Amino acid sequence: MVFAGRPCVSIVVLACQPLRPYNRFVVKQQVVRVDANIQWKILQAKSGEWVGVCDPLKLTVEAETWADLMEDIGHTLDALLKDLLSSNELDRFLRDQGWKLLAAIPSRPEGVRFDVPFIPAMMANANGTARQLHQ
Amino acid sequence: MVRHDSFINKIRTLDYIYKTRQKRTDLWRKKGGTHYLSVPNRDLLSDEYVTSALSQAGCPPKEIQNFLTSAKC
Repeated sequence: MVFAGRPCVSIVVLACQPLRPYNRFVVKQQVVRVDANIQWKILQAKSGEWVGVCDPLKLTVEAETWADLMEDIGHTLDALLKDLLSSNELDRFLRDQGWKLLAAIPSRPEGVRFDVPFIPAMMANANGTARQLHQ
Repeated sequence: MVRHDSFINKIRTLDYIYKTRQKRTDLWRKKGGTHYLSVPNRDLLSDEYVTSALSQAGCPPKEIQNFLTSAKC
């Protein structure tokens, strides 16, 4: 009788528990677009890697493939703006660059993702071969 | 090509501090300024990348050349 009763009690207890909102800790990502058009000069290193150089921001990014480079540039710009946001320097930086946010920063900035448009322009590669501009 | 560790040691001497990690890169920031460096998470960095990044960090060409010569692998 004892063994037969225990499972039934357990089932009742589980059934009485309220549904848990497992998704309540998931931070929703909110994209904040930036009104900016910065040019990145792209070249291929002698060793084959792709290198992107942004003179206005004094930034250089390197990646193994073209697709990785485009993604890494976007991630770098996002990380840079997030860091400036966390130190309350974003407004000043945007003013200095002449950029504008196309949406307000959300009240919970930990979920923000900055989307900064950029223009890749192919330059001469390390071997000196001239490449055409992509635009 | 330059070893990742050598480059990190160099930018530390230039007062850059680690900020965040992205998918394939790390973000470093100059102490007391708003200049950033994006450093690939790879063992070897191309000469072209190192030259451009150090130049943007304010290193004179001769210092960059000396670093490349000493750090080359």
